[in-house]
Amino acid sequence: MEKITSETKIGVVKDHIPLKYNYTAGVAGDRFLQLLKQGKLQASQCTQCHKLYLPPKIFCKDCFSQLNEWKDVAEDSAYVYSFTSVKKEEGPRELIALVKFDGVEGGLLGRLKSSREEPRMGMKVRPVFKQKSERTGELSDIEYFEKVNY
Amino acid sequence: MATPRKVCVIGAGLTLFRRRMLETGKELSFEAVRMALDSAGIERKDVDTVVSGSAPDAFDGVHMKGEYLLDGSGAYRRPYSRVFVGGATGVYTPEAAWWHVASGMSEVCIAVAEEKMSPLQPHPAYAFWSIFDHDYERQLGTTLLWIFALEMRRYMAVHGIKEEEIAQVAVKNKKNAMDHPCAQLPANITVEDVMKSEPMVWPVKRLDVSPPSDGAAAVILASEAFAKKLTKEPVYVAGCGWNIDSTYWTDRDLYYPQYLENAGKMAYKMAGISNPRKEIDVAEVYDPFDYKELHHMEGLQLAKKGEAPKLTTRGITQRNGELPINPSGGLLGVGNPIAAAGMMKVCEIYFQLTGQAGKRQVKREVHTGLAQAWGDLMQYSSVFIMRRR
Amino acid sequence: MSEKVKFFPGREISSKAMESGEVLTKYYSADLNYSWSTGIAVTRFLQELKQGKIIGRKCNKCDRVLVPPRIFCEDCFRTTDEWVYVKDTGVVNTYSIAHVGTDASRLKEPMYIAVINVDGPTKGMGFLHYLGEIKSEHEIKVGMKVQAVWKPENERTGSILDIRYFKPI
Repeated sequence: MEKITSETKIGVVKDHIPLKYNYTAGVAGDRFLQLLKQGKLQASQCTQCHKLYLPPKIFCKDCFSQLNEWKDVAEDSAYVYSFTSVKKEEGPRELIALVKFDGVEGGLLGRLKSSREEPRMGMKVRPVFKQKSERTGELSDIEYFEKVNY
Repeated sequence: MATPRKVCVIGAGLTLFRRRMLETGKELSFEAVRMALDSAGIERKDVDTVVSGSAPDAFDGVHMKGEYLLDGSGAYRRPYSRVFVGGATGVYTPEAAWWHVASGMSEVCIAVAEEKMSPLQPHPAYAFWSIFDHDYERQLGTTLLWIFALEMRRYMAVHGIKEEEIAQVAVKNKKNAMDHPCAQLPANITVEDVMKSEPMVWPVKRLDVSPPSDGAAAVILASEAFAKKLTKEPVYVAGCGWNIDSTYWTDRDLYYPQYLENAGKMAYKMAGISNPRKEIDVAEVYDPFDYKELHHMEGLQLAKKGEAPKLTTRGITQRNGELPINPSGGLLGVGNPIAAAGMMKVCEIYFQLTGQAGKRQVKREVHTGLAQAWGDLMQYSSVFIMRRR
Repeated sequence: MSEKVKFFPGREISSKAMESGEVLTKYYSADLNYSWSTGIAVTRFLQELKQGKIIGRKCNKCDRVLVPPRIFCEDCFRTTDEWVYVKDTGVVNTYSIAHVGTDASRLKEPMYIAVINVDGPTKGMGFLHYLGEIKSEHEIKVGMKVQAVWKPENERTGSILDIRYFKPI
């Protein structure tokens, strides 16, 4: 066996694989994103074991029943489950959080609106949507989550 | 070798096969598994292991599809694995599920196969470009259609088979698919239509080929003791076989699939079958192209070398014939979401054995049925035989 | 039992529904770059092509000459033994005529492709290449004798494309 130390000594083939995809979000995903576009946040509900799922699913991963019920996610139920800060090459430092909702399975990734106050886990937040005309039916239609004092 | 314990098929489910489905891969998997659980009359809590089968990640555009699909496969917090043997995956998946139960490790195992080919642009065929050798094949612009056309031509040349004889398979399967509720391309066409369809890579023409599709299919396997709690007359897994030939595909004589003969013999031995032509009552053989049905009948010893076109001409492989082949409508008629297409064949044999095939039910009495799939670089075959007492 | 398999789930979507925004779509593209080492056997194979020669490896146990070469015999499962030059003539094992490209789009001119069994290695051994100087597609036959047409020496790069195509002889 020879260890490769220099590319010039051995034969090398260079090539690239360009890939293009056009994805659709699925039965639950499409409805979820269409609702986001309208500024609404809904979870799908399992009527068997009473779990709420966000992002919504058409099936309960546990009891495996079909989910047809959807419910508004209570606005005052959101809290920061965990967070980190990201420094991109350009632009200011950003706070990224996994936001969970009381009584809901799962959660959403989003930006935290920066403030002088350092965020903390468990901090109550609420989603702030982009202007209606700017929404595209993507998770980024939630511009950021901001701290609230209930 | 210790004798494996007996394994039964207790349920089957499949989604519609279409060019593009709204459901994501997970959702398609869920729908197929949910239907299979319902048809068995059991719940996920009764299931202790799950095997998922799916072909190249490049179609769905999701890397590591196994983990992506698991929740929809019913595998949440269960022993779970994904198997992959190219196009042969769909029939290999229930074989992997069979090990789980036959070994005594599992009582009830879900086998589910999914494929969502629609995201890849501009056409799913593009995904195959990167399967060829990057040092001396890709430079030529090699495509999957090339190698199938080369195989088809070799098969025709060795036996003196005409394109018209091969086209009969497309006519039969697309017609059979008219009775399949999931079918994507059912049609009443003639040999002339196939011959006049646009040449893609001669001798392969548009109507010789199955379409790209989205879809999922599933079966549930269980121990004999578990199955007997559900039904007095369970369907048994009688034989499993799988085999692979060299990846140096240009070294092989492409006119005959030796690896399939080997896989078939492995399954026949387990099933105690000495004369497949007499003992197999119905078969779903892999037909992504019309010539493949003939090629595979010969590899499976259901026809002598070069004899399959003649059997087709004589109507023996029709639903009302002596040896019905692809009563479902096959990949040519029902569609070809790669792994799910192979599993669709397993489902069809299960439906045939349990008398649930409706208008597709073959005329002759069915005790033993066979499903087969084929893949990788025209080199892999998986064979699954089921039987009712 | 059969009532359980009457309903088959799934919802088809049309391209119209995607274009109109009735169904949301998300387009992504990526370009993956690779640098593959051609390995021990194929590196030599490509270097020899640059010299206008085709080389194989011989397994002395089964007596097969393997082209393209490999450092192991997949059957005997042992290291192959020696380098052997083979001829640049051969026969067409099988062929086809491509009208569509890698992305299934139509080609302007059809391409003739073939598996060539080169003379010298064990019977049936060969590789994929183009056929050229074909006047009519009807003249192509399985079993037809062919010979490699090489690029001029200064244009060769150590690639399978150093052979332009195989022509009938």
